[in-house]
Amino acid sequence: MIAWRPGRGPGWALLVVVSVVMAAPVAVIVWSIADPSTEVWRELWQTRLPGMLVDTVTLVTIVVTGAVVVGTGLAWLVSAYEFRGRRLLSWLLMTPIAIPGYVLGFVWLDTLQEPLGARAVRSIWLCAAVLIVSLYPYVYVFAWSAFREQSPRTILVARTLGRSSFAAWWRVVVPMARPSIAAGAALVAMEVLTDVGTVRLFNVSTVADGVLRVWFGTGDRDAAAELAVVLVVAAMSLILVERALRGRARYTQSGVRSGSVARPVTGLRAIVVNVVGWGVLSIAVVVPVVRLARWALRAQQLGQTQTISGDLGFHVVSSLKVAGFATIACLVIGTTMVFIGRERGSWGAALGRVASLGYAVPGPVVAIGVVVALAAVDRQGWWPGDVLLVGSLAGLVYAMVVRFLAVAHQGIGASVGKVSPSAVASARTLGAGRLRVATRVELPLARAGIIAAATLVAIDSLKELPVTLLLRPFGVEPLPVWVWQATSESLWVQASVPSLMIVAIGMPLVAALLWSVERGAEVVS
Amino acid sequence: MTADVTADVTAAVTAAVGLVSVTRRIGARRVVSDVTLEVRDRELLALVGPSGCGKSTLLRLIAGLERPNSGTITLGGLDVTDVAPERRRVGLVFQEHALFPHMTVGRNVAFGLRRFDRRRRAERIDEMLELVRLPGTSSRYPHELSGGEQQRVALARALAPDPAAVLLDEPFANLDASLRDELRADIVAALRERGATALLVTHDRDEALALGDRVAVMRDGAIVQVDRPEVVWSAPHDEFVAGFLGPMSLLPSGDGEFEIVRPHQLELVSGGTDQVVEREFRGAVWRHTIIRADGTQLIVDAEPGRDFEVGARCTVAARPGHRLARLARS
Repeated sequence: MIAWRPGRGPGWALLVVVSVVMAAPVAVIVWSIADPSTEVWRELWQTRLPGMLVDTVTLVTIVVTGAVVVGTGLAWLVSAYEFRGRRLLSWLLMTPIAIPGYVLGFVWLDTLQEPLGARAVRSIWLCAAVLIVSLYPYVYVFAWSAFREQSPRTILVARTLGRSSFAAWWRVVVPMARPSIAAGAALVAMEVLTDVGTVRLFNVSTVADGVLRVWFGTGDRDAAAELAVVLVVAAMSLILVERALRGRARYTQSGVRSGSVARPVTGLRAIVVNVVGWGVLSIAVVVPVVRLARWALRAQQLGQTQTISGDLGFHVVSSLKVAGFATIACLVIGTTMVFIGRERGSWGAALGRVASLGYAVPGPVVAIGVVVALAAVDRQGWWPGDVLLVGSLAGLVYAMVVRFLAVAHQGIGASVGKVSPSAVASARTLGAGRLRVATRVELPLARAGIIAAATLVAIDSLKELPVTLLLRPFGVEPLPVWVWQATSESLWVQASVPSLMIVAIGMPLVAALLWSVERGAEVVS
Repeated sequence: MTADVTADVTAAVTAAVGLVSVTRRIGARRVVSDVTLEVRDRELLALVGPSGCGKSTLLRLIAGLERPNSGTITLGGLDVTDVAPERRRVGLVFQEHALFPHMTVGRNVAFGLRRFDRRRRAERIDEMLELVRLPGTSSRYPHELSGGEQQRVALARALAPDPAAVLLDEPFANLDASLRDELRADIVAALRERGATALLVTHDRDEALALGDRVAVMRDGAIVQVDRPEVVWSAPHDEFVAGFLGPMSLLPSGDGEFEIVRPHQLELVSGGTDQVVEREFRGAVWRHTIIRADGTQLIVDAEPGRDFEVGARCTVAARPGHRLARLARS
């Protein structure tokens, strides 16, 4: 008789170990507040902290509001109206996700410098505008898929009850998509909290920027870690707000999704719809990519396609290595956790959340947490010779996994969870053990969701700046670091080459993401 | 009493499928409560009951997808209570969505045939598809088949490894009425042809009565009665079984006892103190609802020509030649 009932065997131990390892960096940061260095705090509080808090709150508010309006509006446009090129536009509106804010930022900074003047251009408003344009896809993708999941009957019923088309959308469809929009908004807020590249370009001093300045400026790791606690608190409050917004209501709809809810538009309306859609796309993607390409050509002529560390190939390989390892690690750990965790009921779910903490914590915090945690391990001298985890590729990949494991874990969990229980039960009774059921039935059926999760992790880790900046080991220099170094000296031409490479690697990933979403992958927060 | 239980237990452990005092609790609720039941070799046992009575849970317990809190489950005389589902050799057919959508029909049917060599596997696939009257569909995908065809494939897949028993969980519930009758006949024929032992879970009393060699009626997690269809129909164990299996009326027969009568066992004679309050046309018969002077309500069927209008006065009489079941009313 084989043991088949979920027990607390090796799987359980593995789950606990993974969760502890993943949560350690965050725990280390939170722990640092237990022994605060009051002097640093007093100094910060008297000088820069109030300003940082004001800037952070202002920026988060503007960007979240803007991204919700733009993202929901665009999703509404491509869902409610039928026009030539609607399908193409609806896909292309996702592509800004491949262009980091710090790239979009310097392109528009330079473009607007002449008309606005060098001083006026570096404002919190423009910074917010850039972040809105680069982050709206997070709201857009959630709102769009929520709209798509709603039954056209809902709108028909609303309209037969005497509502105009717009009123039907505004009063019925949008409220039903509220939880999805809230999830997207929370992601945007998180991205603003974690941003260090864009805000630096526009001289906006947020808390994340402050953490980095303390880290690099004073070298006081403890002070940086303590300042990072502010970010943790902010991120945690955000999650609570989002949970509250979601409420207890269930918004799923039963019944068949038949037909499209879109109605054709013609004439002036069609022009307006097209101008808005393609206009946003131009600002977010077309203009930046064209400018980058022209700069890159100039860089080619000037022979500026390399850094002192190495040529373009070296940097591309660095980026691919980090993003590749991080993606593989996230997939392997995420899949394992899904399959072990689900058999442990609420404890499994709780451990899953613990391991996913890193995603709810801004990049600089994770980075500092990883450094502190790894340094503590290094001091134990468990490894022979001079092997150190701090400053190793493994350390950087570890930080990426801490930061993005949640994306993989939730994505894989959602798509494996959608596999019909009847199919799984049938497979079991047909003589397949757990492993065979997983490899032959569940994973193949969850393929689209797994690919979506993988591409999201890959895109995120490709763009990730703060973690890379703080943890890059000697001999590995991913593209974002090059962009950062060039832009901090306003060398746009030099920055264009790595920026264009990030976009070039990111676009096929976005295509894969769209492909999998089309095949029913869930994008989850 | 003790002798009875011992006989039941002996029967259960030597049967194709046996359950002895099986209880399954979810929280404080006993979803399956002290069930002792056997499915005999090559028998089709229909397990019927209202939704939520625990019949699907009972089936999942037999399949090993859930574990009983207490009791013993045997298959072919072997105790499988602690055996993993993949080692039990039972076949499962669900209501829907149970085929592997990413595999062809052939690969679906072959899923349980790992120990077969290539040639025998191919033979068995053909044999099974032949059995369910879907020859030549091996390379099709499930979504290319109709709902009824998918259920046939599901049965072929379940039968392919020669399981000790086939468990069918509401296999016809999602099909159109017209398709359902045909599929029912085909599936029962296929089960008989393979000489399979089968347990059919359904909430449809007509289905249970029509298909089952025996019918087990379940309520609140417990088996109320198990017997041949004609016996549970005409000699129900209690009012619940009687009412669940079809329309019936209770006729007081004095000394606190009642007789259970089906609508066709009564007839209407004109004149009297009974009154028709409602009637509906049922094709072969008119079904009348009658209120008697003492307030009791009776359901009576009458062929067209012998029917009465709503409001008409009449007398309800028992038709000659029908033996009625007697119940002490609790």
